[in-house]
Amino acid sequence: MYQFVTGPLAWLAFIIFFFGLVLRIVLYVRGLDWKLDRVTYSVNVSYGIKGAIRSIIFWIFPFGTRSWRNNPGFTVIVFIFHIGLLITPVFLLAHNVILEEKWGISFWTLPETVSDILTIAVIVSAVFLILRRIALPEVRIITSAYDYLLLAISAAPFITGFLAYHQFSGYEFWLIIHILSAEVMLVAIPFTKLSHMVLFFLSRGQLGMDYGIKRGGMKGYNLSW
Amino acid sequence: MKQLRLIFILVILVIAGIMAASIVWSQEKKALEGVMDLKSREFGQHQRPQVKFDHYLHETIMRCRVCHHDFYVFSNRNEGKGSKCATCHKRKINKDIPVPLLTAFHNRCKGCHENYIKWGRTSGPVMCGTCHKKT
Repeated sequence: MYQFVTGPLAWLAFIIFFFGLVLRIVLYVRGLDWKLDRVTYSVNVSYGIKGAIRSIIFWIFPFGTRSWRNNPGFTVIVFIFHIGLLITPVFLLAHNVILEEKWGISFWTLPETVSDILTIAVIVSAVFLILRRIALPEVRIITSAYDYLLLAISAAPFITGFLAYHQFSGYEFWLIIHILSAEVMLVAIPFTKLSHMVLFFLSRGQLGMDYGIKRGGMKGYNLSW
Repeated sequence: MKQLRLIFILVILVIAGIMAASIVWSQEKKALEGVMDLKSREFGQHQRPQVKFDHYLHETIMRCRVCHHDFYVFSNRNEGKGSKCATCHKRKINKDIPVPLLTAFHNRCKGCHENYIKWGRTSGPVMCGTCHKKT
């Protein structure tokens, strides 16, 4: 079982993840219509790029934008969740040991105590994100089972990884479930709104171009829309 | 006829005695060099729980030089019996020994176990926590 989930199934998951995301990017860019958006993406490229980078950078830092500042609690939880979610698996010691042995490459690694704390932080912030969906009426009315499912898919590898690392009873079961749940997440990313992993940058970029070219960015350049 | 039976019983007793002695002897041997803690001063503080390695079990099923190799330019030169992994393999690689100690340990244990699984044979543990057991 371990051989299967770490062998063919892992390859399949990574291939679907990678090519799925590439396809999402291609489809997003091809779906842009300058006539419909009334933004001259390919004409005023330098203004567009400047606006895109500006928008992405401000949104990627906590409290960088007005919307982040308006919801400080949510901002803190979201950033803890995402930092843990991205940094922990990539810089985890055990993952890098496996990577080093299979392919001879490895990144620098976190001390195991730090990755343990980050894992707990991801789980706790996921719980807070669930509570937020229940507690706030304006979020509750747009919440469906799908949203909880996606939170479960993203938190499951961390919960099972935590159980496996601390070797709770049934270690082998937890490790296999850990690998399986991570593969489910990888496959789910291109097909669900977890694709915001890349689409965040594209839609922020698009809006940034919009602002950089049309709405204010090129004020005083005698453009009429 | 009676004598024959007596001889038969005697033979059986002798065989049983040899078997018992060999079991006792092998157990003595097992206690002597059986299960060892794989720890190395080279690592300093160990990150993961120490691995218990049944040396006796492995010496009964494979050649010493699979692990106790002593590479000389291109091929196995000696069996290098008695030498530890950390005698040559260090924490960081150098120009003479291109395999770090951690990888040497993992290759010799997990790598071999994985090969045995690939060949469809009885094998040892390959999952992290099945060797690095928390006590």
